[in-house]
Amino acid sequence: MVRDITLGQYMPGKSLIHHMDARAKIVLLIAYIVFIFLCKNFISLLIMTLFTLLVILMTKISFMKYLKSLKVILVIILFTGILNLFYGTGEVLWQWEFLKLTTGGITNAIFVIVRISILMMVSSALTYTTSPTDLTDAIERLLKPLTYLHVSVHEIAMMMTIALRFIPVLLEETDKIMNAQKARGADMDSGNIFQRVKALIPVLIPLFVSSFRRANDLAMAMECRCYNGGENRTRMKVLHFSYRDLIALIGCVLVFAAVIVSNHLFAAVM
Amino acid sequence: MCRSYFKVDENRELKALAVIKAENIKFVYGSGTSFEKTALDDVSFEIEEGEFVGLIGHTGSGKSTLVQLLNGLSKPTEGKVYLNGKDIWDKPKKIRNVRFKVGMVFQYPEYQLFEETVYKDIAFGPKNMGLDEEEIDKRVRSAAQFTGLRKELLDSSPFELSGGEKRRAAIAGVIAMDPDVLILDEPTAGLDPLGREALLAQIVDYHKVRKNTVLLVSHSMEDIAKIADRILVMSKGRKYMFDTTEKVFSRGAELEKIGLRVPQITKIMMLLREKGVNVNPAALTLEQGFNEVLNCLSGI
Repeated sequence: MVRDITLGQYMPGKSLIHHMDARAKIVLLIAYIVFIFLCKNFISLLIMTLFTLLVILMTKISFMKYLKSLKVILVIILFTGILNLFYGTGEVLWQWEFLKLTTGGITNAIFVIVRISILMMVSSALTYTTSPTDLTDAIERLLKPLTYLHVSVHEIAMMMTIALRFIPVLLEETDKIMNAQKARGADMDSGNIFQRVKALIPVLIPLFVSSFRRANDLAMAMECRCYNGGENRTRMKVLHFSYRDLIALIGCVLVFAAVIVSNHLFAAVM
Repeated sequence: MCRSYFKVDENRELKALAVIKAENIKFVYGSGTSFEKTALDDVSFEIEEGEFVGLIGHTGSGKSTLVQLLNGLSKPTEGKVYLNGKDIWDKPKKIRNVRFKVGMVFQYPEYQLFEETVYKDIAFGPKNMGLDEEEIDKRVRSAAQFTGLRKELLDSSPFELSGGEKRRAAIAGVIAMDPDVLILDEPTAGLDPLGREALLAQIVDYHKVRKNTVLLVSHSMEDIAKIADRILVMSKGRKYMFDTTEKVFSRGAELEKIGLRVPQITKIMMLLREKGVNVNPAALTLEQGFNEVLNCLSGI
């Protein structure tokens, strides 16, 4: 049950995308997201969609996993889609009371749905192909300039690493505690929403208690090994910017250029 | 078909009815994914009413998976589990009733405590059964007594107790449901030697007084040898042996092959016999071993 969540789950592999520098992946992802929202017409959007599919193909992870990541935000996609449907201008196709279905609305809805979908899928491509340690490592390196503003970047990165590391541990723990309470007749699968929330108390309290216990143990263990933050710390795996990242960079720049060109060549619908 | 078989059985002799019966059960984890793993394969056995059964096996042999199938926490991929002759998954909505009848104490059960007071925590199970206040009170007090929990601790917070007391409180929480079958998954793990002895003695006492069925999972062959009537040995997800304690431990070589061992005293007896000393290798406890050696010496 709790194991079905695929959001932000790393899947080891040997594809080109897997081997890319995590910093390059993050920077390109941010640029990519910006360009998804810069698309002004269907041609631009099509270019972005096709490139997204190409990236997904290159990760060599089954397409079903990406669809699963969409399932998580299905409600958001549908909600914004339907809302946009009735918030457009243009030729009125159908009207009921204050609800107006317009051509503009339909275009808006399609745009929003496609945008959110490829945004989610391309972000999943990052988290699926990058191990949590690489990811936080890359974030730490990218945020390094902030240290001049007295932001302790290393500590933030460390906290993220620990949080990510403990997700599976806590999931397993939840499973165990749930089973133990079910064995004592706790009923978690029936009743209305209030009864269900109340039924979670016997699970949440032991979970909190054990989280604090674990935090305490971990702090103690780190202290025992004389851990003292980021200064002069070297890494076992140093991130390298390689030819793969250059290829990816050139590829993305070409796509972004194509989007800008098509935005200028064809009429904007958004 | 199965039902009619049991009806005939019931009429003939009630005593012979197995309280728990597993029939060709198979359990597969994460079927359909790349993590698919068969944890149990074609396991069948019967446990009779009032028996004290030990369950041993190497880490990863499927012990914990097996006990979770017996009280309906997971459903076997194939095969059936019967409780008092009825398929427990016959009415999936009523599975809670099975869990009340087959009490389960997990490994490190102290991590499941959550209530404000020990009393309330022990009462959690009986309350879920829908019993009235008076009955709950009676059960909580007798469960606390069985597990040797001091009366004055009942009103304190479970998080203030010592490790051993927490363990007792958690076990009392299961005993308070007064289950027909009590399953304990390594109840003494992590306790000091005195605590182990005391807890085991209390479990044995409870079994004697209540005359219920107990299934004890343990890694300590000495403990199992001392208290179990029969032993179920698991290896790699399959039933390896299921026999009386003496017979299981007389097959020391086979046990060692699957990463288990016999009680130390049995091992000594076996080695003595190899050296030509005429002792019975089936001695399981220190006392029996002592008597064997004594007999042997007085024979000379």
